[in-house]
Amino acid sequence: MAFDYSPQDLQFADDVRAFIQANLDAGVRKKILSGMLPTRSEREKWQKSLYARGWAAPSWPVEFGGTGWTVVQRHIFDEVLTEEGAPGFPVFGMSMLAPVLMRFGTERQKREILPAILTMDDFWCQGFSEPGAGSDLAGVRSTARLEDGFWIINGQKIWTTLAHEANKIFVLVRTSVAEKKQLGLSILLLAMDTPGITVRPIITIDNHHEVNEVFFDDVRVPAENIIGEEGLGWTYAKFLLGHERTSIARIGQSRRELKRLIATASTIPWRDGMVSQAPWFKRRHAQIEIRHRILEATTLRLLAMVAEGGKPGSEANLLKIHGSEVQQDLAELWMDVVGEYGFAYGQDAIADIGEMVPWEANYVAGSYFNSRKLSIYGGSNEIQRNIIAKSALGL
Amino acid sequence: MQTETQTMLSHSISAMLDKHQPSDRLREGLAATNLWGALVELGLAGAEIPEAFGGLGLSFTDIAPMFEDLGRGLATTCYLEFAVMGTWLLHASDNLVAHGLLAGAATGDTRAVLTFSEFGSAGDPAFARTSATATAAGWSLNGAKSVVVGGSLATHLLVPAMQDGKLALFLVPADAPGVTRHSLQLYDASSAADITLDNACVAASHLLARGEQASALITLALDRARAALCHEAVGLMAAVHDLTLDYVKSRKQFGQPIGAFQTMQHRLATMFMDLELCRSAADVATSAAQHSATPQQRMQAVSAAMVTLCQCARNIGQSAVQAHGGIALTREYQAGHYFKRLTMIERYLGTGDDHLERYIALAS
Repeated sequence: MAFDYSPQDLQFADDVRAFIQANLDAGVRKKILSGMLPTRSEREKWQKSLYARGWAAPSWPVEFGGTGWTVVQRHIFDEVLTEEGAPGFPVFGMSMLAPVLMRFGTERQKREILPAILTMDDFWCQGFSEPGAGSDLAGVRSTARLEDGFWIINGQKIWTTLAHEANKIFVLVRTSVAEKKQLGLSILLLAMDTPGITVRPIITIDNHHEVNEVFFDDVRVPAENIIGEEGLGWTYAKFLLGHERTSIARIGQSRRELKRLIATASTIPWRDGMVSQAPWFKRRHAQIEIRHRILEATTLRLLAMVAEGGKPGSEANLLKIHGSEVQQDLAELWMDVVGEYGFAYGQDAIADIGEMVPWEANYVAGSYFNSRKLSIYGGSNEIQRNIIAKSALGL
Repeated sequence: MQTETQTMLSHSISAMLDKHQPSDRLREGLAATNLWGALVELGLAGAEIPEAFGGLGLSFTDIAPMFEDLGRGLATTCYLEFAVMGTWLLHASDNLVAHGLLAGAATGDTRAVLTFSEFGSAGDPAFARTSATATAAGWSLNGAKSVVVGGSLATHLLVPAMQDGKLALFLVPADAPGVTRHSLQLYDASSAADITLDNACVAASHLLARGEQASALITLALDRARAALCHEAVGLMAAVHDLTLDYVKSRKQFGQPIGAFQTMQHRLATMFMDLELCRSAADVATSAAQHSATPQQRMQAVSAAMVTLCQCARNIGQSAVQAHGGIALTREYQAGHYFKRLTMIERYLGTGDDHLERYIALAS
């Protein structure tokens, strides 16, 4: 590891690893390592075992159920979880909605909503993007009007991750007409089974169903299901997306992939030797490893700054860009490592052909196609560069 | 400048593809619409076969540019496998049994594929592990060929195998005893087969070439295919560039078309430059495949084209997706399918890394 961890930190990493190995289902682990999605019940089971151990939300303050760990411990925890193939945290609820509620929500909202995120009894999705509002999120056109103590929501959301598995959604909607399009927006909270909500699947080119369109047709929610003040939704959304970006570099996942690539490459024949000995493999693997190493150092530098009470500037944008590119380079290298079997995506039949073909070959092409979203979502890399140019460089 | 023959072929392919638009075929599922049959109807199965054998007697430079039209139309055809490699090898091998198959090849009823790939051979038959041993009746072959595109539709296999430590090329009927095929659907909508040869027996006359001659034939067959692949890639790139250009002109964010942003303009300009480089690369490869004075010159020119192609195919495919955003990653929209085929082309007949290595080895 690039960081000088203390003996206590290393012991902590061992404890976390032991816990995962004792509690994580082997089938779920394999699924995640192959780039497939765990089901909601698999996620929930894992989240509940973390909850039982008191590790359900390390990023939260202790008063809400956090762990009180140091920044370094939290980093180690995330990294070991990812390396071991544990399901990711339910980010939309835990890392996006929760921080906003803690800062801007009512006492009742905190009391009622936060505990169910910890246990994953509630699984939240995020209704932000619309067909006409992607990079330009303030272009949201879905509306909600107040009528007899209820918000009546109409409109459409798109790219809504896991809307088909979530039971709750927070949506960014236009609640009043304002001169500036960033004003007049609000965030509303609702249950997915509210009458008038329709979820339509979007199948992606890797044949996965992860994202959806969500339609709202006169959907009624009680007036109090709003975050903070009416019309300030844009401020809350920006706060919330800031939390998305710091976790988006996925250092642990890339480290895991770097290790797995070496392990797999040393089992695949290439000419008279193995792929791991091929000059092109060594060169490209080293290039990615170096970039990852410096990215990790950058992450830790940023975390240290936060720990000392500093406010991260455009570093989060930088992490998003580099983190997504490292992951995309890894996905590309995987394609070349498995050779022609990478062409036969999603064919469990490959397993019958011979022991030489690694099972990952079934998934690498899908993972590669899927990896292209990383530079698009969470604010495209173009938008990230715009932010750096504007806020860090004053251009 | 296009010759008259090239223009005529291009027109008939375009007319055929008008009846099989990518958007319609996407709805049916691309995999279900292999257009080999449509090319046979146009009489193209035997395009390069001399007229004496029932073909059209055209040259490779005549037919290579029509791959651009096939690429534009996102056509899955196996024409590369059956005609450019398979049928050409049957003719070039100068073997009576193979020549006896040419009449059937000209009508499309006989379809031979070169099984150039084995797991771990990096697509290079020189690293084949399949072996051939002499028997009283002829030859017995043992080994496994991997992900042979068109392999499940082929009537004959052209099998590189090691015989007494030297590479040799055998003609094996696909239904010969000891041949097992296992079909695979590939992500670019083409179909392939894993093929095992378990004491597959053929007559002595089915040895098409051995030693230097076998290597030379196979390498030339692959280089011809690479040149054709370059043309197909140009068509794919042109189509996906057009789609992207239309999209950035019509998609509005922040109150203006996203094409008004300089970052998008530069992205599209780079895609355009990549496309133009690949047009030249395709010409270099085709001319080399047809006219090179020596195999070394040909191989070096083809690898130069492939290095360019692999890089540009990747840049254009990824850029098209990035410029579109999420929509390009949905199964319903065309751009993602062009991206997939370009991704396949980047690796199918050697990766950019492989070709850079071959280029360097030939230069020294």
